[in-house]
Amino acid sequence: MKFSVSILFLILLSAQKYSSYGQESEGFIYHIVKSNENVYQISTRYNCPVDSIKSWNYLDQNLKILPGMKLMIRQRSIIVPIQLPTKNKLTSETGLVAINCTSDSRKNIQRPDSLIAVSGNNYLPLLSNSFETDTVSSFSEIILHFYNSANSLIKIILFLNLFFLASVASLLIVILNRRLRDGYIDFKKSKCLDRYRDFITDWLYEEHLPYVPESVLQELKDSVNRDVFTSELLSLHANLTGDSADKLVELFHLAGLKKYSIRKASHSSWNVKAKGFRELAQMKIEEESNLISKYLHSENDFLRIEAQMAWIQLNPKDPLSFCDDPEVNLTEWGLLNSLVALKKIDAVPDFRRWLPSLNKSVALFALKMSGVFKQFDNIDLVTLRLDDIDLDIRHEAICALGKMAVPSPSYRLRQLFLTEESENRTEILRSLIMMSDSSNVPFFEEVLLNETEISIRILAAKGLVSFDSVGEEWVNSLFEVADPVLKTIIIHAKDERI
Amino acid sequence: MYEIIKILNFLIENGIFVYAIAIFLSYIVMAILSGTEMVRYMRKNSFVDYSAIISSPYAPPVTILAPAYNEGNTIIENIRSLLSIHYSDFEVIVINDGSKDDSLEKIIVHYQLEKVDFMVNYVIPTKPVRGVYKSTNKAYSKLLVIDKENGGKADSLNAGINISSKKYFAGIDVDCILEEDAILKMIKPILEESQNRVIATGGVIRIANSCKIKDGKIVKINLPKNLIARFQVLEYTRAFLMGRMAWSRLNGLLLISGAFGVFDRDIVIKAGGYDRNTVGEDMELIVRMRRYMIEHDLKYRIVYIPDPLCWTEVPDKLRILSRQRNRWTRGTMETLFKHMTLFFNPKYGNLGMLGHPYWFFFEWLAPIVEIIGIFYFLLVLVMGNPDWPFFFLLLGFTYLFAVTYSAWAIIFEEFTFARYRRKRDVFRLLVISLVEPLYYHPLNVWFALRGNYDYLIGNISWGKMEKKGFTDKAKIKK
Repeated sequence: MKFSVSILFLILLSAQKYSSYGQESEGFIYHIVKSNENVYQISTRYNCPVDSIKSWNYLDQNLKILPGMKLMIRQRSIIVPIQLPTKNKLTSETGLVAINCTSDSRKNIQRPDSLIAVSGNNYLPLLSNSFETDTVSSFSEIILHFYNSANSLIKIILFLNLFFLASVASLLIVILNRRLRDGYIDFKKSKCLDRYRDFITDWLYEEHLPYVPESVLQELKDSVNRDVFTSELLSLHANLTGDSADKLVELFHLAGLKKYSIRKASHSSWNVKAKGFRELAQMKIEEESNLISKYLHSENDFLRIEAQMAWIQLNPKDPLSFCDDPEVNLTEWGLLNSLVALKKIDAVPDFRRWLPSLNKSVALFALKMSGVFKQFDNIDLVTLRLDDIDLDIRHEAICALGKMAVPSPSYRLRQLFLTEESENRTEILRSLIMMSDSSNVPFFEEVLLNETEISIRILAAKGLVSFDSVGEEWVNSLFEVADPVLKTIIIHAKDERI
Repeated sequence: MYEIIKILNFLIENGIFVYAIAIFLSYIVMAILSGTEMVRYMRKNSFVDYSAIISSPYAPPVTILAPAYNEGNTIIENIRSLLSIHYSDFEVIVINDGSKDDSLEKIIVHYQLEKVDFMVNYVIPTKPVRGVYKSTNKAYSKLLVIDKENGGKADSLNAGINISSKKYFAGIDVDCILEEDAILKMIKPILEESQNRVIATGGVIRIANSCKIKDGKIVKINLPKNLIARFQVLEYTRAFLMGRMAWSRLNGLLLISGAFGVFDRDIVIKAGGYDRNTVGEDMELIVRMRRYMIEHDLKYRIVYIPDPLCWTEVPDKLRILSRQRNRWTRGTMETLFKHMTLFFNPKYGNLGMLGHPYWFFFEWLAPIVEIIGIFYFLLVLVMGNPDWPFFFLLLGFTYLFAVTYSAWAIIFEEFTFARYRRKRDVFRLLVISLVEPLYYHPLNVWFALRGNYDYLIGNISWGKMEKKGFTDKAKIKK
């Protein structure tokens, strides 16, 4: 069930449309005229009026029939099996199915206008499946004949079947082709990877050439070789700093890779573009930053994050200028990346500028960063945001204060505790624990004794325990008078492993 | 009498025809949606630098919950594999669900555990917890083991949720092998959304049969040697790459496999945790979480990522497979019928108008319609005379459709992750796709029907009994 992309055989069903159920079914059978037979004999044999036979078969006034001719007889009651001429192998075996008399060589019988009209249960068009073997000599003709006499539904299904067959075959070829190509590229890569790795390390640590040898430059014209070289260089660069990193940037320029990076950054497909941004940023190609700035507010989340990261690295003086835009949208993933980028350039801006931002994502970012980088000057602004109507912003502000671990806002937090929702209350307690402010002790005690929610009580007990020897005394005095639940809570809180 | 037969005849033939067309169309639409979604996913992740995030201490904290029942043979290895995951802030909680074997003793000895006095907060009611263990060895500080009375998988997970304290938790089967960066990749979609809250992320399950495993890691990926398992490779590929991706895109996903998913702990608790009275607790939870979000008018998303992150052994014996499918069928039925209010309820958006009805008609009802069809065909065969050329044409059509669909799934895999590197394996898969509709599919239909039967019978007598414990885990000696 969970994985069933059921392949239904139920279509089987649609196949039985024209079957009949023994009695009372309406349908046509046919009679092949023998020599010396006339319409009257036939009408008595099948117990139906002559006029009917005439009209079903479009006979003329004289009721002229010829031996070998097929007459369609409508059956109302029990169907009489008809003996079929043995040569007529391809005709439906029992004649229960309505038969379409296709115009055969004798052409005496006209085809009924529409088989749908005569079919008993007639919501689907019929397949005509009667033809004479003596006019069909080869297999291909049978197919052709079958096709010609089929109705449009059958033709569609036939066509689809062929289409499926063809598509499976072509998919097979696609896979083969891809495998071969991959194999070739892998081979090419493996051939040059070690060489380039050696070349780059030599460049770094051996004698320093002022130029890149011509042979290497020639090789780099090939896109596969260039990709290998570039990615080797960039991955090495990412783990290096200072002098050796600069050497790699120099190599990058000398090897003429810059123009390819710019070309990537202006590529029409966004994933290539993002890669280009990354290369430009890593190689500090500042003159191209206008290429990037266009995408700082792109609709495409991933391109935007890449652009922002590149922007941060290329503008160490004012890395987060894009946050000034009130419309900017920062995702948490973007934040994590920005943080990484900020660490790379090792220049942390003062987040004071964005703390009062009306843009929620920017405000969250500024709050988080103020906490992470412990910007104590911003405490006043962070505390202000505790009054925000947005739950997430309050939450982030509480976290930030906790990370800074400065006791000054603890009174404000204790007040907020009374009005907050449960998720933020936990966070407030966590932050208060970090602050280790002895004015919190009565508060912790009160929470521990009066709250009902166990997770909060545990946190409060942890808060008490956090005051080392003094806290221990308080806790021990509480423990002596505690009920079993409180005792367990205190033991839990004292255990540092959990 | 004649009239009745005629009406029935008309209904069956027309109904099935319309149904078949609808199901085929839905497969095609899903394939297209999945395709576009996959292209996007592959592009955006082609240049992600995960290493920077792994080392970042600001990635959200995650708890890994691994319930275990009678897993003594492999539990030590499995825990080691879980502890070796790359992530900055995570803990592993192993829940021993009253195992009858010596698994708890084994863990205690091997990981040097000792009992701690843990104040268990039963936010979600569960069977009593007998003890919580932590290691005395600092190297295993991330490990926590819960010993509790037997109550089934859902109950174990609930106990784990109660004890975990981190914002997100990942529920996994303990015998799964996770890729090292699994948690990171699962957390990423949660961080990427700014407008909606991502309440759960699902991951792809891959088949580890016949793969070379060393120290709790997959070292070489092979196509399973066993035929039954090989069929499942194709089946899983199709379902995950072509089905779930489309549903993720429509935000209509009803199921994240119990074997691997990351959830927002807060929402799970608010929705009431796992349901202990169903065998399909994984699906039921997702439906309930969705309902919670919609009923509280919260914007949310449930995301699926196609990376192969979790490897597990699948049943390679028909007997075990039959029990698994039987359980899945019952789980689906329980969930669908429990949440029947969703059925074509416009209030619930995609969930009500698309997700629930789809599962109702095309997952639950499909095998039933199919068997009706086959019986009807047999009836016609006996009583009347089928239109043979038309029959074979349609048979060919369904068969070729199935094969083509599978072939597309293989192509998807080939162009995305291509985990089966040997050319031989890919061609074997193609051959399997030719055989599958003739052998494996009918078996599946049969198992599903047995599931339906057991569900109906079980409602009267023995259904409840079997729900205890992890009844039919595929146990394969490594």
